[in-house]
Amino acid sequence: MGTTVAAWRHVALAMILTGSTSAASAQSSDGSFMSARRFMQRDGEVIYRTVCQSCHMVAAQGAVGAGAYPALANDPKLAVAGYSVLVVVNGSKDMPPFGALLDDEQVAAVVNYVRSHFGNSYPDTVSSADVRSARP
Amino acid sequence: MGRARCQLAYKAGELSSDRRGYERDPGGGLSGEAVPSEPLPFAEILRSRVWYRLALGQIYDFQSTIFQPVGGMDMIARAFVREVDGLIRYNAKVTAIKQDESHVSVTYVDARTGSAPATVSADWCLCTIPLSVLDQIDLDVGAPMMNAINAVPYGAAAKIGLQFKRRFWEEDEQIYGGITYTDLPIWQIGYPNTSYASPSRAVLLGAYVFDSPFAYEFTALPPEDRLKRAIEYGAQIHPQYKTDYENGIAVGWHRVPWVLGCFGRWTEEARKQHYENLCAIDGRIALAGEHVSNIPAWQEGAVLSSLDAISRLHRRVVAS
Repeated sequence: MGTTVAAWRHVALAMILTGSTSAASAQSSDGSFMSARRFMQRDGEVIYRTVCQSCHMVAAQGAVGAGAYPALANDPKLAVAGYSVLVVVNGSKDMPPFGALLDDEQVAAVVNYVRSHFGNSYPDTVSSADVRSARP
Repeated sequence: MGRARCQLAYKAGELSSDRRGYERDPGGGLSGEAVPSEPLPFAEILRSRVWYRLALGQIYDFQSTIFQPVGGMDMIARAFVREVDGLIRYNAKVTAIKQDESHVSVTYVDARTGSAPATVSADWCLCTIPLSVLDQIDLDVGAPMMNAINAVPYGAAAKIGLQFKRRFWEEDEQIYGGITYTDLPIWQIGYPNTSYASPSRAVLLGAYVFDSPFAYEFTALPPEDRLKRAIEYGAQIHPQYKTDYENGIAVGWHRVPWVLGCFGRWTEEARKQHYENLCAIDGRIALAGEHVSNIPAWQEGAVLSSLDAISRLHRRVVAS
């Protein structure tokens, strides 16, 4: 707090609305750091590594402070694929919604990746169509 | 940018250089002949979206003069601490807040040692724990306040400080304080507004991103890679980064353990539905903080929300 975040949001919003793509795009090969507006990564693992890992950590072990970021490793809550999709698209409590930052295919890719890694091995997958129907 | 001539021709000359600067500045004697600079093509100016940056200072929050506390924003909090010295219990990680008709009791453990829980009780509780943490605490409030607490996600942000062995921005570029805005993923470079021209090392704000993919992407990297990236991007503006960099620090704001986010991200809809319920005194518990204000992310919002909550509590107590 005590920052210029609040006022900056107006500017960020302007950048977002006009779809600013960073001049740095040539420097990234995995799709990260390319856009101030949306995530451009396509691969499920890359999306986890460059986005989700920012809170859920490298081994999906979560993090504990005054509160906690939940672990996604060995997570029984991932058993129902539709639940994972809903949380990514709409957010949940502290977690912001990612529905406007990721398209249907990206959400499906990252949900399928997490549900089949980190000690999770759910055999079913979600499709872009499943994600589309989960959007509000 | 520069001025156009009266025929609206925008070309190199004294008139345009008077605004945009010269290829060689006017000086004295025989070596002082000015050389005008070549204006950028109009299309390139439009493409650079310079208007967004020009407009920033006109945003209401920035129209008045804003002072910077000597030593940084943290000094505001430290000044409060000085006034209530001895009353604060540090490293107390709250695990439960319970209330009955006459008291509120708060249970906590030592955040460093995970000691056995201790409980304190009081007549009233003004709670300033961020909602990102409060939503995980065993909390005795009614559904309206609880729903409001759960309705506000927290914003991601990353901030990077870079230490250089000299003030090259002052020595080489005549930049004294202020901010460079860029569409690179660092978004901005903030120059120190103090100790101008001192012949020593200094720290730049090398990146400040929030509420954007960049905030997650920076934080997803290990700290040393965040620095590497910030240096790489910044060097496109200041090549001196490559030779004068000494040290740095990168903070993922949403990973700061006691806040888990930069600020409460209210939407208009959420505010309409939940804000009054978040502000309302629930039994003997009231909340305060930037998240309980109409000025999210600013310290001013936090201070004003506490004054508002304390005033309402006072009226409630006096009336009862």
